[in-house]
Amino acid sequence: MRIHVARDGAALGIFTEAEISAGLVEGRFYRTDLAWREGMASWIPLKEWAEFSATATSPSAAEPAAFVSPSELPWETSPGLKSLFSSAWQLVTKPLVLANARLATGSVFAAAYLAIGVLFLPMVLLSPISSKVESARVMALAEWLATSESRELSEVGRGMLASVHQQQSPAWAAACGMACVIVLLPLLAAATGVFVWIGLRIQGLKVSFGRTISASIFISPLLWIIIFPLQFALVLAGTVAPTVTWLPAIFLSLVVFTLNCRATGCALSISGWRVVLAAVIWGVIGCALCCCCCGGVFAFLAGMSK
Amino acid sequence: MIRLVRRPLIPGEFDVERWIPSIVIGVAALAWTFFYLGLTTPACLFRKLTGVPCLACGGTRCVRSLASFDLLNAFAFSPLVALVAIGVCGWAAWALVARLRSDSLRVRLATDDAGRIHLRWIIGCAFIAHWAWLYCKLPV
Repeated sequence: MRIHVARDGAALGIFTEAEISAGLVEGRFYRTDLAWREGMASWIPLKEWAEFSATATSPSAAEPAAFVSPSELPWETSPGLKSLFSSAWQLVTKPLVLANARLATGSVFAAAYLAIGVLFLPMVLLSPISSKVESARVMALAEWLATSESRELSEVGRGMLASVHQQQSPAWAAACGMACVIVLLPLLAAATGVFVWIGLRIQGLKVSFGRTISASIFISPLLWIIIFPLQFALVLAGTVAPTVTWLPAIFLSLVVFTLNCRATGCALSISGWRVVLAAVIWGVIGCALCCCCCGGVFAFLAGMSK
Repeated sequence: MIRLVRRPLIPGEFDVERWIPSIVIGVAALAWTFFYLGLTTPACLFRKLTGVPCLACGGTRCVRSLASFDLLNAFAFSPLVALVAIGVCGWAAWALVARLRSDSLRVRLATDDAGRIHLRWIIGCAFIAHWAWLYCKLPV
């Protein structure tokens, strides 16, 4: 009869006794891995199975101590404002430092909120200007689409123009909106971490759920610190020439995305491309479903308000 | 090998069965209200621009048909969405019964190494076949 093996709350698959014995010797399985076979009431560690008592004592079957090498992440060696900045810089220049970082939940939340504290005032003050610049950029795109020869594209452009006119919000609303986003950023980053984890699972990669979320909470706000001066410069340039700066703005977003994927990959000891693929998977699913679902919700709300 | 097994929860595993009945009932109630009010989702922008259906095209019409128990039309509009929706409803019903019976066993898909590769191929092929169906058969 085949045996089910699990580790860290996730099933590893079904294996024969011979495969498990060989796996214990080769180091594929650890003696602390849980196993279950039909008829049993609960999962039991492999070391307690009579069938594997001999092989479970093999040195390779011992579970590796988690993160044996000490963390080199400045934030984890001496938490503080200075180490926060140097950690943020290392995410860009030396992301491999995340590979043996502990990324404990409390520590990553503290780092995220400290980064947010640093950025809060400049970002809130900048948000009314950046909101105007964004509107100007969208308006320029909408006008270009509206004058297109294609009837469909022209309709899309006119729709965008109408929505931009409707969405003109006062400066205080933009600032409040930005304040909410900043405060909620670690939670939004945690939600992104869940999506990344699902995307990686779809690819068949077994990474720790908690570590993926912790990495996401830690990386996003710290990258903001690094990117903020560039973003600030782009917004200021955008007030003069909004349409000219949209291309650098997109380029900057791509750079942030790349850095984020690379750092997440390092934190999870996988290729950054896998994280990119996870995002692409969600991009496809999101494009396919979000248009329909969000459109449905808006249509529902519009219907209710009539 | 790919098979469905009934097994106890792994310590630390997320207990999907605990939440799935309430989620399905909530989503069904929302969908029913949505259709009852005569609301509809906007036309797919991707299809409008490219002329080619996206993977979710026909999904709303499929769910609308499912809500009125018109299975044949539901499968015609979006076979994969219909299959997944029926599967999830079945799973939710089973979870509800299991909870009422205080059954500690959970239904899970179990695979060995070869089965995992087969499963990926099956899912990939299912998406391609589904998209081909939509491309050829889905009415505008």
